[in-house]
Amino acid sequence: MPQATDYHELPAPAPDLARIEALWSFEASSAGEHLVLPDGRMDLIVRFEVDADGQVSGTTVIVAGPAQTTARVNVRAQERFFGIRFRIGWGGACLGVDPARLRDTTLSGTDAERLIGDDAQRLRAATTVTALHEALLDCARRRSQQAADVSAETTRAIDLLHRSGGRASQTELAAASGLAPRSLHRRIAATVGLSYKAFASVLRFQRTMRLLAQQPATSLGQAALEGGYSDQAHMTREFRRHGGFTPGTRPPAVLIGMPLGGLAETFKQSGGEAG
Amino acid sequence: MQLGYTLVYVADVAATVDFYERAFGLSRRFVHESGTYAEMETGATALAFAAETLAESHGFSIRPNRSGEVAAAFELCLVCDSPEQAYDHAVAAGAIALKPTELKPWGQKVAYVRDLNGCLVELCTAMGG
Repeated sequence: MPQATDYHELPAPAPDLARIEALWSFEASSAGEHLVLPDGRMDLIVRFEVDADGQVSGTTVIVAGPAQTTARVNVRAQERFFGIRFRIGWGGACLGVDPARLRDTTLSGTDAERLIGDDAQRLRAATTVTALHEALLDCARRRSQQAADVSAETTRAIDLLHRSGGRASQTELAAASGLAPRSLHRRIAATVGLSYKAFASVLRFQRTMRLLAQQPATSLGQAALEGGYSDQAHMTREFRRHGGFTPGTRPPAVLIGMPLGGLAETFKQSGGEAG
Repeated sequence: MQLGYTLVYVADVAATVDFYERAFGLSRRFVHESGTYAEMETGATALAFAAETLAESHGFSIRPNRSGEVAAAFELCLVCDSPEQAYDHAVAAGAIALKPTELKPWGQKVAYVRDLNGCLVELCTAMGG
C-alpha cells in the first residue's frame, strides 16, 4: 500500500530558484499504482534505483507536460524519484519548450534527454544519491536563471487565477493584469500550455479535491458550491474528465502520489530529507 | 484612531443575525426595528450587519458577498477556546467547511469556514492565550 509519506520536498536554497516551486523526492515504500492528479504544472523528473551500498543505477530522465487528466504510474518497491516542479507558467520557459507541445504528454528516456540536452548527461552521470541531488539542484538553478522571461502581466493573471482556485473570470483577470482579453487568452495558452478554460477547470478540480480530502470532508453539495461548479452534476462531470472518478468514489489520499494543490500545501510539506 | 466596528453589508440582516447566533453562538446586541441594521455581542470590537440596500442610500455601490462566488479578500476572526468544537458546530449549522482546525507553528489553533453570505470566518484561539 503506498504511503502518503512516500513524498517529500527536498530542502533547497530558495532565492536563486524563483521559477522553481519545489524540488521533491518520492520513494515507494511498496510496489503499487500511484495516481498523479493533473495540476497544470510541469516537472523534470529522474527515476532511479539505489543498491545497498548507496549506488544509483538505471537513471531515467522524464519530462512531464501540463496535464488535464490523471496519470496512473506503476512504481516498483524501493524505486525512487527526484523531481523539479516548475512554478506554474514557468515550465515551458525553463525547459525551452512550447508547453502546449507537451500537453497531457510525458517524455521518457531519450526523448526527454534530447529536450534537456547537457543536463541529461549530468543527471545520468551521478552515481550516488547525494551526487544526483546536487546535479538536480544545479540543473534547477541553471534552468531557473536561463529561462526566457514571462511578462509580469501574464504572471499576474496566472497567479490570480491560481489564487481564486480557477474561479476568476477572464474579464476579471484581464482587468487585474492589464492585458486585453484576447491577449490574456493567448498568453495563458502559450505560457501554461492549456487554454484558460482547461487550466481554470484543472485548478477547480485540484482545489475541490483538497476540500474533499479534509477530515471531516466537506459535503459534496458544499464542495460543488465552494469549488465554483454550477451544480453537483457539473462537478461530477469535471471530476470524471480530470480524475477518471466521481467525487463520491474518489480514491483515498494515500493513493495519490503527489500532494494535492497549490503552493501553500507544498510549503507545508517541506522539510523532507534529501538522502 | 481605533477600530470601532466591522460592518458587513448583507442581503438579509435578520437571517444573518440568526445564522451567527446558531452557527457561532454569538448573541445579538442590537437589532434596528427597520431590520436593516444589527450588531452582535462580540466584545470591544462590534460586528455589525447592514442591509445591502443601505449602501445605495449612503451613496456608494458595493460588490455583494455571495456563497456561490469566490470569497472576498478579508475575513472575520472569532476567538474562542475550542476552534474544533466551534468548527463542528458551525458546519452543522450550515457554514461551509473550508479548513478543519490546525495548530499553527506559533501555537494558535485555527479553522476556517464561510458564512451564509460567503464571507470567510476564521475560528481561532487567542494569541498568547
